[in-house]
Amino acid sequence: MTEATTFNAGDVQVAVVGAGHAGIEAALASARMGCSTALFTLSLDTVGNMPCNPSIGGTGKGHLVFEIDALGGEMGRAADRVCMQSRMLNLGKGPAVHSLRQQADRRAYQTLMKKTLESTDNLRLIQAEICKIERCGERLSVTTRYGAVWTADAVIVSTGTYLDSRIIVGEVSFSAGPDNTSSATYLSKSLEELGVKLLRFKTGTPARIHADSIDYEKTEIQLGDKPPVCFSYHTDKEEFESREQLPCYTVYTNENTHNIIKNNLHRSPLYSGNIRGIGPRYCPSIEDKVVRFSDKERHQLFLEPMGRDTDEVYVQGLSSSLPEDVQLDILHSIKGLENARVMRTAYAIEYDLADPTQLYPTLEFKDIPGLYGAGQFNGTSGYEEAAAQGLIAGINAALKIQGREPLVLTRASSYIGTLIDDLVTKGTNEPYRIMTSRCEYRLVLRQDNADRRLIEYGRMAGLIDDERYEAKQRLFEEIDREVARCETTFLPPSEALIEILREKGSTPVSTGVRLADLIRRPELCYEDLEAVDPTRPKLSPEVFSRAQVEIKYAGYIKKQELEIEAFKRLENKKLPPDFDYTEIKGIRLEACQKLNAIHPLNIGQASRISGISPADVSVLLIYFNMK
Amino acid sequence: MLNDMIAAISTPIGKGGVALIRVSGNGCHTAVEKIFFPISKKRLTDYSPRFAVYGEIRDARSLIDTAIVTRFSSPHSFTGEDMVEISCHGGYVVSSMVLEAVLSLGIRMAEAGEFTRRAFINDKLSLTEAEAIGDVLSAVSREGVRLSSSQASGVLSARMKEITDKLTSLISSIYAYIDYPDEDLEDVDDETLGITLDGLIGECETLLSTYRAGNAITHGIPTVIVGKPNVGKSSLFNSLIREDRAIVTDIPGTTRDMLEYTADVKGVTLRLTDTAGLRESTEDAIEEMGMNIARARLFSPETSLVLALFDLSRELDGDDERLIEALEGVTDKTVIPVYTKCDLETRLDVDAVEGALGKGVTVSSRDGQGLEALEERIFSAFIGEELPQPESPMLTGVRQRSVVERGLDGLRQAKAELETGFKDMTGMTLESALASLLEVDARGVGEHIVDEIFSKFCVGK
Repeated sequence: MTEATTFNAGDVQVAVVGAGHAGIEAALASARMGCSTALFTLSLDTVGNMPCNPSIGGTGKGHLVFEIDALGGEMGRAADRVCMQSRMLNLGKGPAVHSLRQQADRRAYQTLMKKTLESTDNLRLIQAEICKIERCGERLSVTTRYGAVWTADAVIVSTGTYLDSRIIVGEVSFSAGPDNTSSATYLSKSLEELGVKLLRFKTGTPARIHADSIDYEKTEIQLGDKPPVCFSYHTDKEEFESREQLPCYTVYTNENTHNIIKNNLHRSPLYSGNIRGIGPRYCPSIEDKVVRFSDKERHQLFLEPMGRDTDEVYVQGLSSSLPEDVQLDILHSIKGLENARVMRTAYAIEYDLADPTQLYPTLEFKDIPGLYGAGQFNGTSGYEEAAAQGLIAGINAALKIQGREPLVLTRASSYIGTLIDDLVTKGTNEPYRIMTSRCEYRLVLRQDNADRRLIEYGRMAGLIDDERYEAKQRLFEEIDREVARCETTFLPPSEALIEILREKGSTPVSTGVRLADLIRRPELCYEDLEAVDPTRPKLSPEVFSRAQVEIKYAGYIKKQELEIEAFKRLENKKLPPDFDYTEIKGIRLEACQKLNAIHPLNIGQASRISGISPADVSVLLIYFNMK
Repeated sequence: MLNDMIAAISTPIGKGGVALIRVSGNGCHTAVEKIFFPISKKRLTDYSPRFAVYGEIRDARSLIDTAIVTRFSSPHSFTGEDMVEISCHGGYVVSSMVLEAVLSLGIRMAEAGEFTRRAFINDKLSLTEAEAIGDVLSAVSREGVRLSSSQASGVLSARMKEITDKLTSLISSIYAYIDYPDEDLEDVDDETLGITLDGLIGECETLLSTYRAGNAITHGIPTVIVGKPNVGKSSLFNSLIREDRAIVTDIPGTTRDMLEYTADVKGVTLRLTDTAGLRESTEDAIEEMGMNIARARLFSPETSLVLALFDLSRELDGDDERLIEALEGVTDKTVIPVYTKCDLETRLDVDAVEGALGKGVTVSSRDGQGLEALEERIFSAFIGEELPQPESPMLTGVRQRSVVERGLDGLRQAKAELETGFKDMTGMTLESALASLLEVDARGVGEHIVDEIFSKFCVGK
């Protein structure tokens, strides 16, 4: 490039590079916490873009959105405002894994987020490509393509899939960001010069087709919940529930589809070696699925609307990097899509990212004070994972500038904590997606109690105002009072009760019985017992349903709380951050290298590093005399 | 504390003529001087380190034993710390009393492997590799290392792997079902889940049932011979070990300390303890102590076989009745009544004994009659009809048994939870069951459930 003449453009406390889902949360958090913040984006027209599926939430991801909201983040609130369909997944599989998923109006979301950023105090939204990040004494500076140099106390890198990115379709590949935007082509080199170790991943997105070209007769319809559930405390529930919901549709691939793919595999860049990046396992392209799961006769596809004011439809499940002509054949082989007209072609995209084991759980680089990473730049996948990290990076950058204690969420506190701990402790060799099965404390980490788990942290950061905090405290008290009432209320073996039990196929009672014990019976629920529960107070449905979960789960929650206690004991055994582990004589070389690479903050984190054995942990405990 | 004083008997307890008691930690040289008095009237620390000193071990009241004591100075010792080694006499009572005298100095009992652990930390042992460290630091790995080298563990590992693979796949199907609700995966229905669980429960039960024999074969059967004085315990002891080890006299109370020897019963080892006869009162302090130890051993959870001796030629007396009463409540051990002195006229109320303790065996120590029948009884009680085939998987250790039991509990609990329909709980319970079962082989649970989800199921957007 022709080097622009540099000039001093200004000074901020926090500079955020990239205005995707991570960058937005980071910038909003730091600005709302009182730090002057500049948010840089390659294009003001792609702020908060959803380059893949037009939806927010899903299994595990729904938990993240509730947690973001509990901490005072923006994603849930914005998603609710543009929601086109809301479904609670996993009903009937246990309340711990209930997960909310909403179809989001993509354009409306972008417009809303941009406006939110524009109207936030202390925040400047600037269209510019950041080409350099450099040390500037104790501080850092960022330089734009036009030579503007901004100095900052903290820089948060949230470049998503834009970093030296390439789009690949069949034999064609070119430098571009998602949706044919421009790629950030200079920053990778600058980061490497700063000492950041980069990796290269791949992801992809399916085609968008015109709604009118779908033969709906041959699809199955999928409607939203009635009434729909929202993510955010701020959402006006009445207005939310009154909004019209749009349907989605399902179709299936078939043998013919699979044959077309198999016959054209040689033209796939994935199999010809044209793609170097490592793709995610959970979000494989259709050619991947057909190859790896060859005995599966069909794959389900979802047709999701992209917005209320567009006819574009997203074909979930058909991500591909095969040449366009093959893509068309594939689409047309599917029942219901025989005449589908493609508006955007499916593509794969490769991009640079940072190895997340270089980060502290605060998301600050261990070796580069003031530099933070968030979102896909840290090796994750998904809007929700990105937003969660952006929020934590933004909060921590502000806390550090203000000379306050950092915010580190543990695995026992949240899905966010689990996500970050996995990233910084184990690293990842593919785009990382949160899943309920990654969260060992999931019985206590539910969507319904996200506010209770995290509100204190949000409050400490200064992102939860008094009104909300007090309203929540009142709610928690109501829930506790109701749980206590159920635990201390005895119902006599009245005829009415016996009749209810008989009707529900539940074991009859002959003596007085504790109300909570009845609620704990799997075949009974709160509502069933209303008639025989005269002291039941008038409470909101939310209080009842949360009290019911607390009661039904009591035994498991207690057990898990004991596990959490054990976990905390290890987490509280701090390790010196700069310790050279080669000083411990007799420790295995491999363990030593791992420990020196990750520099775990405590024994708990050390024990989760892959390749560190329980014996190594014992050595550490003994060496640091912590038993 | 890392350098606090610890002590332990380092030789097998109660075996051999000499016992070694080790003491390690800061200040142990001067501490031991309070109970060790060299014959030369000098003090232990007057001698150079590594010089063997002969003297007396005394507690506040009296002489306990004579011993040879050697001190080692840091870092030139096994642990790298200051150490004292006491070589005293090897009987159970004597060595325990010496240890107690040491512990009375404010020195604490060492934990399992603690000497070795200190040696390792002080860079005295070149245990650079994980398995060696693990061997030292945790019983789990020690078992694992020991077993992995043996033929038996290959077989057990293979069976455990079959079971844990099935369980992993079950868990991953539940999680795939939970994490990918839109993916058109086949429902994990309760019925299939229940059948699979029942299968796994059955396999674990079968495995657990091998423990009694497996443990008996690898570790021997800890056996005590009890009965009132002069009932013929030592004669039976000698007959079983086919040697004259115990002193046999007609004087009641001849055996005052415990004797431990091993006897071979059709290829299975009896770890046999002859104890002091149990009677109501004695004026002999050492016999009294011997009786206390005998009682402790009789009720120790380690003991699995009790041979309760009754004299056929004498009527039941108070000592017999107290023994019957004590043994009636015992459920965790096999109790076999053994009748002695069959060559004399029978005066014993055999029905009273068998009513309480079950069928007995009559043995004549003089000509060995009935000995084979007794061995037969023992063999069938622990092993069954014949020794198991070497290729059948067996649980041999207490740790193995307890982790399989925990795993089995988890599987049963999960089965019960199926009724609630809360798959999130079932998944959790099964995961902890899996963690227990994987411990048999000292393997950990981790990413492999997530990996399994990906390798087995087609999921994604």
